[in-house]
Amino acid sequence: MKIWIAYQIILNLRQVFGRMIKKYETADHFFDEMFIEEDRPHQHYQLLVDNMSALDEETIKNRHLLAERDFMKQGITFTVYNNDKGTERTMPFDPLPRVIPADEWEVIEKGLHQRVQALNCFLDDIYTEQNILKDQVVPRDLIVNSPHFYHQVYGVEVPKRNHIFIAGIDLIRDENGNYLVLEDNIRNPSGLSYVFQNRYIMRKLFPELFKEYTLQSLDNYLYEMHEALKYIAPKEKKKPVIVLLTPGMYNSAYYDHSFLAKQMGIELVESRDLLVKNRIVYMKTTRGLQQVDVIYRRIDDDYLDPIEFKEDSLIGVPGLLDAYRAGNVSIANAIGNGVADDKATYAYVPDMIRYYLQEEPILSNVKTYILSKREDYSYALSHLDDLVFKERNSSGGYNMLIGPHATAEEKEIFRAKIIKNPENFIAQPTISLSTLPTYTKDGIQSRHVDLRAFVLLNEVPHIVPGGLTRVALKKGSLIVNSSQGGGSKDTWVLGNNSNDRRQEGC
Amino acid sequence: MLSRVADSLYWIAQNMERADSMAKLLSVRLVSILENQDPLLGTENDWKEVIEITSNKEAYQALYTQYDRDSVIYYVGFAKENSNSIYSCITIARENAKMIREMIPIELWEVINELYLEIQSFSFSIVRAEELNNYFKSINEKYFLFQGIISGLMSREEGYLFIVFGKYLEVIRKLSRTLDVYYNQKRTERFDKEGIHYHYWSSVLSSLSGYDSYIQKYQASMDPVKIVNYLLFDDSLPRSVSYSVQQLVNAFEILENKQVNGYSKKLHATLEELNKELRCKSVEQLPDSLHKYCQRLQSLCDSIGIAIMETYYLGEISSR
Repeated sequence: MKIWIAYQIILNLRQVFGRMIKKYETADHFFDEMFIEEDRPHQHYQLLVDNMSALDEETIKNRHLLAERDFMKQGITFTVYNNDKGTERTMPFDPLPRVIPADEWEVIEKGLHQRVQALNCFLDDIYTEQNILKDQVVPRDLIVNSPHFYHQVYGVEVPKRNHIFIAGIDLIRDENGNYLVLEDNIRNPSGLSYVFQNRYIMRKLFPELFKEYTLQSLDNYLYEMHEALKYIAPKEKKKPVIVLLTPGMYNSAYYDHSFLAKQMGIELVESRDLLVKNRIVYMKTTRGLQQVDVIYRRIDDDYLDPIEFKEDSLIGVPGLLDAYRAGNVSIANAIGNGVADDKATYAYVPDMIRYYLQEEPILSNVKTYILSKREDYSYALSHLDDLVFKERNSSGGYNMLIGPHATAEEKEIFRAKIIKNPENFIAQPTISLSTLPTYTKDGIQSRHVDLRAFVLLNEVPHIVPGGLTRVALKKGSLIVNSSQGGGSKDTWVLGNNSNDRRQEGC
Repeated sequence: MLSRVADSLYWIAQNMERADSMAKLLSVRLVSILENQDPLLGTENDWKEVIEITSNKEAYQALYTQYDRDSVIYYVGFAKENSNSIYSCITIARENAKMIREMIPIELWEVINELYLEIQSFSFSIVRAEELNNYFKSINEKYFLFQGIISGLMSREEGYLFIVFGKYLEVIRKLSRTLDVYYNQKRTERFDKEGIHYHYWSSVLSSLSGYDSYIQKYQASMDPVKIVNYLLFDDSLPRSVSYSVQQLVNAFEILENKQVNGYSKKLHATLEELNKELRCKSVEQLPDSLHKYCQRLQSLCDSIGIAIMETYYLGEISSR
């Protein structure tokens, strides 16, 4: 009798959840993270579904508002600039997390580990011996003509040969659920602060959802971050002075900068707090000038040093590059990483893995056709209708052709461009982003998500469990960018029972 | 800590203190005008005193021809062209707090920001006396919140000590200036009339937040000598000059780990000079007039301010 009642209760709970999911459509061409088919969640989501059912819509709505208010009060905002006027917005937050089972994550981890190591080797090689170019694995002109290849740092010794300190690798899942790398961000990846804030807010406002889940903990990673910065101290200094260099409070990612500096216990500085004297970097303190050893800089290369790069930069530190060359200061991420994260080099990352590590890539790229290659060129031109074409060194959706949506005229114009300069273009199939239940004003519906994984490079790569799940809040939209209507979710990586993992209980 | 951050904390403390003391002065003045019956105490003098205490007389006279209620309140409370108005002080405090938002408790940023937003929306021109008084009271309240947050939440490290420096220098300055103006010998005719006498000195105490504690100690005897001694030398009053000087000296000791090094010698010497002025315990023992004494205190405060900026590289930083 009791068992029957319990069974009824569970059924009712699931119905409650089910009712909240109004017309949840698991679309044909997309992989849904939670549901195998309507009403049947993947095993690792079952608990979440049950836990969700304990909450009603009103409660969720109220707590959601509380989360917003909390973010606003703390100033966890980013600034959107429109005609020079900046408005502060909170990062929209969705309380339904993504759940990743331990074994799945283990594979992703290995793949990220491999990828970041290969990228780091590539950067080290490109700025010294350039063997990969000599061996013609990557075309020479791709690199030396790249606007992100900085001759100013060619041959400069990089401490511990770590060009990468932190990488943000964007992952998506195809219609079969395979994880693919969409993009590597190894210059100035942001968003790590939201990973921590989302977890904090979830624990504070939605503790019920965590019931009976064991998650891999985020706790250790701010420490790991600090360690990775210590690791690259110049001349292996034992107690290096580490700072985070920010453009200042008007920068759109300022919250990210201040959160990380605060949590790592390092000084948050602007360029006006620093000066370079005798090739040494100092910061201006109440006790006089204090030598700075490691700079985690959140300023782009071009603006870093007005003597060496853009001379009208007001946020840079004159003489910084000189101090760097002299080996008196370490800079993280290193200068010149952009050469490894542009669209065309992306296509060669699997080759880099094979070349430097002698391994097969565990995580695949999105299929990319490099139009300077004969076979790719022929295929792409004969499939103009199906592919998305991107021009190298362009960003933000410019100089793109989305085959399936383009007019005949647009296609002709683009075709001519490609024929003229094939080496300037790559082509990819239209990407698929997986979907995940998201709380919307029309109830719980499916929305597209991607995942930005954060990898720290110390002696070996350390991967933050999960990362930032970004969600396109508009129905059907594939754009997860926060400045264009995207939000974020907490990401749970389930713990396994291995001893060398720190776990959070519930 | 970064000089820039210490600089901001120092100026936040000074400006909030200044804003609060002016709000207090104005609200006490407003109430006392209502109370005061005597026509001899021409209102013009009352308002002139306010300018003498808080601002630069010449600067005021460049803009206004007379010392009337509306002009003075506007000038001291709201004028953007007065860099020492309540409005200007709160604006400066807020700008500095915004720049170091992550270094201070979030509640501290919020209270300064809320005060700033309140000031923006207050329109002086359409306001009656009671509303004006409420306005000044709300500044006082926010100030107490501000103090409470610092006292309750801020870690007692370098940042806190720069706040102490800023606050107590301003307390000493304001108090000595106020006494100087009120006790000015030209106004001794005030002491002849009993009723006025009482009222006058209780206003002085109220403006300097000393009324309640004074009454507890000395009951209702408004003896000017007792009052001045209380405000200058009584260590139990947390806003007396001697108490404030002690805070400055303590802050220096903590900051410098009870040592005096080459770079801090000048600051130490100037603090010692100020400390020496507090040796006598009564105005009757002063070597010269109260006026000269108050002037000396203010001048020493200025010297200490300069020494702090130089010793800790606040303000415009130049490399050695």
